[in-house]
Amino acid sequence: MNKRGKSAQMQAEVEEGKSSLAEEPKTGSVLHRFDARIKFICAIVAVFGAVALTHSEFAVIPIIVCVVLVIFARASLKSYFKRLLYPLSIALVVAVVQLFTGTTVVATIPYLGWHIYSQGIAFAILIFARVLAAASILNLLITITPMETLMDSLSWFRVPSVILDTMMLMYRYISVVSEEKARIYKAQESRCGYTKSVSVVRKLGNYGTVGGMLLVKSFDRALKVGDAMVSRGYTGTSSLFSYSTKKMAKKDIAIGVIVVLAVVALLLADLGII
Amino acid sequence: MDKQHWNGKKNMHIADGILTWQWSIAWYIVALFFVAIGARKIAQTRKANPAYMSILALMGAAVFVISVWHIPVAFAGTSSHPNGTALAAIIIGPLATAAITSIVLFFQAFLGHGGITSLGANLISLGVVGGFVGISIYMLLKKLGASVWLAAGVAGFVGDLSTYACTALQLAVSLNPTSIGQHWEIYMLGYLPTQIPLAILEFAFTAAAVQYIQVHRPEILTWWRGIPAIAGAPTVSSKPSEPKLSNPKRHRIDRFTKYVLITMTLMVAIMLVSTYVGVNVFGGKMGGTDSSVASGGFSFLTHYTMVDEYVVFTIGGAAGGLVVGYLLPSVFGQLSKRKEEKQTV
Repeated sequence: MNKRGKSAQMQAEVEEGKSSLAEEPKTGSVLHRFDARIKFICAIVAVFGAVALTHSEFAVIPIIVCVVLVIFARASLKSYFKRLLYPLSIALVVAVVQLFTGTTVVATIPYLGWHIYSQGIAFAILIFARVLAAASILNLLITITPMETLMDSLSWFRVPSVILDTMMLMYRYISVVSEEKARIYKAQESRCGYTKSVSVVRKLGNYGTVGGMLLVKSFDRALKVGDAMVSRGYTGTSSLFSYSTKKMAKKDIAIGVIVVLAVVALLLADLGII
Repeated sequence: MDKQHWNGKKNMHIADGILTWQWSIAWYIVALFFVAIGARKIAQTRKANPAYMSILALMGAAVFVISVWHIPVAFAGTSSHPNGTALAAIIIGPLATAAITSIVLFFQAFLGHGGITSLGANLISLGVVGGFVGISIYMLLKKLGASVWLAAGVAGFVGDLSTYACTALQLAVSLNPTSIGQHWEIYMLGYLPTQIPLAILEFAFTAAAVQYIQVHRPEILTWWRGIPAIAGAPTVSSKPSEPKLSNPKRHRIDRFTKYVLITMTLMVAIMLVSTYVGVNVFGGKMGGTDSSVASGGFSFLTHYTMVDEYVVFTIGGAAGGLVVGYLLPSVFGQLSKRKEEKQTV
């Protein structure tokens, strides 16, 4: 890949945080129309349920259910699976360490003499399964719920307005600042800031300069925006949140209760009670 | 997904499903304390100065964008992103950093970085430990007379390492409660291949970013301390200061920085060469030292491995260099003063 291609790819990676969050669901399936507050409650209960599982085979159930629901919602399976890969990096580090804990030796690594234990293998698989199950649930939630709606629904949970306001403003500005950063980076790149002849130390310095410039520009913009907001009557609080007073549909509540009961049943089955 | 893309996604956030649910809740409770204080401080400032919200949100967004920026790390053959919490603490203050980090982690949880149940644990390691350690180091070094870029760079470096040390501890406490010390080291070793290059990157990036701000808009580095928290007080001035086109001091290194850099480099080099000779020529780790330390009740140190010796001695050398670098100017100052007195007599 040539330099320009690599740079473009890196830019795409940089922007991914923003673009993935800003990704609007393309379809209007039943799952999309479902009350965001109930979806959020169900997701949190399901994630805590997945985390509490003690048998890896039970973690497969939420993973399969999530994939089926993504297909049902006609969302992109590619981006769904792509997002599932990220949490596995830390899960890998943790799982590898677990292999060497336990009491029953099943294998020994040649030359190093390190023992691998059966309990360690089982625990490593369980961690992997739990990570995948929990990530699948959150992934499904963001696939079928726009980020703005999700933030709006948080007002119903009495999340302090100062946090919600900052969250909303930050969410709005992430895309603005990303574009600004891409522009500054491009300008610096076109002035040979990252060519082969530039030393590694100098390149790192150049990256830092982009960061510093971005902060300076953001500060200037923030001062202007702040003054503009105050001059238009902004008092520090916004009344943008519609979910704080909106009533829940009975049908949605019923479905939410069923999902929560299903999670409880899964946990009881995992513990061997049912 | 191609290899480069996958390599670029190295992050230290703990995902859902790794910590036990009891520890997830415990970390949430601790994290809530810091978020509550941070939110309260933001609310007070917002009441006095509504324009503060736009500054906080924009600076928070800028720090978020910087913290997800994948920068190639040439000597590690991969790309990584700075933590950004030390930088955030320098720019928006440590308490606001805790509140902003909770928002950032909430966003990132839906991108597969971190998670909802592990948000509390990640907030403590990233926003609280990384932020507070970063700002403490920065302010301490500034007080000692270090140049801004060095103070910011060391803050970024130590802030990054302290974050990953905290994450490793959280994993050990939750997953291996019977041998916390031993597993803490093992997890730290697991992180080492990615985190050491990342810490170096964080040093260079934070130093360069803060140096740029110091040269062009130094008030950004102190604005969060000067925001009025009393109703009726004047709002933040919208008048930007005149940018300094050239700073004669920009390329000059002050005496403290010079001594620190020289002594740190020397001490780290001596430590590393000695460790290499000790391990490869005389063989084995310092068993004698280990057992004597262990007999004093610090059995944790008996577990450390060969790699740890390099890490421990590097950190020791760097810390020693800082102390010696601080003392040297005053020693030389005293000597030259006595010489002058003698000459006068």
